[in-house]
Amino acid sequence: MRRSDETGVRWGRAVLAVVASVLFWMLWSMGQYMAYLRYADVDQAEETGSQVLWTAVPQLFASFVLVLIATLIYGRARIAAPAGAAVVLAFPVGMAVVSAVLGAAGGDPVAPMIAQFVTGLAGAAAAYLFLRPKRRASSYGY
Amino acid sequence: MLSPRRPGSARLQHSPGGTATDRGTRRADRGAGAVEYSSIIILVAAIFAGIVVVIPPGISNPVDDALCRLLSIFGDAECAKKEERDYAPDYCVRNAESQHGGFSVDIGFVTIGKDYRYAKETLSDGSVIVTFEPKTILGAVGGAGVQIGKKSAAGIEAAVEGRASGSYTPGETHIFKNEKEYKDFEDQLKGDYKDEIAKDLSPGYRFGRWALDKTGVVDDPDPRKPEIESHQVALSANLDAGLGANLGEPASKGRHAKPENKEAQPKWNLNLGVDGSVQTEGSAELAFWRNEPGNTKTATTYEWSGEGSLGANVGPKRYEEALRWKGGTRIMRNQDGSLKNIRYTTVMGKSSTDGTGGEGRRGDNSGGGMNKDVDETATTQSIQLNFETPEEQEAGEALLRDRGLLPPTNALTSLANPEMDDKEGGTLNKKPGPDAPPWEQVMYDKGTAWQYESDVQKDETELGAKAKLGLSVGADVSWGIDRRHTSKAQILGPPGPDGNRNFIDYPPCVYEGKGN
Repeated sequence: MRRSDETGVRWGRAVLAVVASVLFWMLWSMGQYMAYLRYADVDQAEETGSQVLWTAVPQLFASFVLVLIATLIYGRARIAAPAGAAVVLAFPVGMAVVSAVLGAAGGDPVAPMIAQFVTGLAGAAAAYLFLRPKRRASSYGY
Repeated sequence: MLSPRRPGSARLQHSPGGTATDRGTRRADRGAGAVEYSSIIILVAAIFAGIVVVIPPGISNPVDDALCRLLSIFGDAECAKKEERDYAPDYCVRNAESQHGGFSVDIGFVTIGKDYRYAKETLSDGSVIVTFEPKTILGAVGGAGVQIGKKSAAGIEAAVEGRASGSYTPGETHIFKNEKEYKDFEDQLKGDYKDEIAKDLSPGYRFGRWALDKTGVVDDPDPRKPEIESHQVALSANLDAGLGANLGEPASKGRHAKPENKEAQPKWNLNLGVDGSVQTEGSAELAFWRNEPGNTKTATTYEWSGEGSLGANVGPKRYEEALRWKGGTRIMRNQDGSLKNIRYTTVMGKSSTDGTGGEGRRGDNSGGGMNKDVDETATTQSIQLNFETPEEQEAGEALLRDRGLLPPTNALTSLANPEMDDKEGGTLNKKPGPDAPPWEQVMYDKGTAWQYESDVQKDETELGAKAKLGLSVGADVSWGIDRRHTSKAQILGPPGPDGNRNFIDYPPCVYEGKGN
């Protein structure tokens, strides 16, 4: 494969990875909202513990899956490079930061907001570290 | 498949005219039928006429009712009207639960406060009434106190405090046909509440909500409009008087004692004493009833209430006995302004309170709390005059012109003594004479009256503190729940054999231990 073709494929996969992540996040957000309405306990809805649970835990899982999806599409072998890391981490990390900024601006409760930010970063980092190819003594030239 | 035929009909098919014998038989049959049928009709009519003439009206309700049913078939409109008459009450509370929570702040002589109340009532017909009332209070408070033995180790305090306040309470009332309809509403409210919380949880939830709304997966439910919207303005006056004992610490004799602190002796309230309280309140309420399509009714209610109590404190325990009375008149008009009904209600309650708590005092600052269990027996009586025809409405207007907000004279005895022991109902139940005012006839014909005795359990908690920071500042919070169950109920029944209407037991309004 020529170098320009390979670059094109890499760009295409990068775009596809981000689009897939965005789509997953949209579906996840809708599902999360529906699950909250269906299963959240109304008597505990105002309690901080309950709010943290309903934001942080889903965020941990979602950011992990976002990185997983992007890695599967972009190619696990490519994410070790800075560009690859940026492709798979940009959306989950960006979402965590944007959520925190928008939450702070919108007057969201502080504890769930911080918990969501931390677990968002933690989930993405955990997935990245888990999926990043390990360095080996012999390689195929990567 | 052949259908079965009578032998005669088969013959007729073959011979339309029939034989001579057949024709003779048919003629004979025809003649016999006319005589027999006529005899039967005459006989039935004779028996029926005999019953109607021989049995006087009102000798027996079942017979009377049966006759009435029979007569109404033949178009006796008057009797049909009597048959439809319903003496069941509009608003007999079988069981109820209400919760409230609020606060008040006193700054100088001004007091402001807020109290939120939620009440759920189950009526005798199974319908459920839910009311939300956020009350705003603005008033003035003032008092005077006398202290004996101020600088000694022990002293006695007497204090009088007066309080006058006004309040505005907008209310929303929802009427549900039954408990299931109420539960559906409750589920909707819980969903709305969770939705409100979810909106503020994170941008992700906000996006999810927005996307589901746009895709039509979930809809914003139209909020249920209350059947009744009310606006109440009330004025109340309160007078508290108390006599109590306190214990002061002796002035320090130590060498570090500072002369300037001598006046600021710490004093501890022993919480021994008696107190009394008198409270009166008057209120006016305007309510819009939208429970009938095309006819938004307007109800104006005027209420007066008084309460007196005597209490005693012994250490952390408090005992209190109280009596209360409330009277009210509600005038309801149709959308076109015509009179719909007038309702007079009185409530009498006797309660005893067992409280635990106390007050700590240091100088001019004090703070404390009290939890009270109140047991009350309350008796409610309502008398309602319903107006349907223009003549009846004119009678109602005449009643308002003549008596104002006061009940008709023939209802006074009964309303003044709603103690469940007056089966006769004073003169309320008597058939009005020819000279009686027209509204008494309306009351006798169509009026409803009901009375019920309820056992009420209240659990109240109050926390408060006062401080003197140049200006007297105080704040308190209170919350409570009360449950009431009707143990006895009576309604004014239909006219009896003597023509009078008597109170009869009304089991549908008695609580039998199901639900709240």
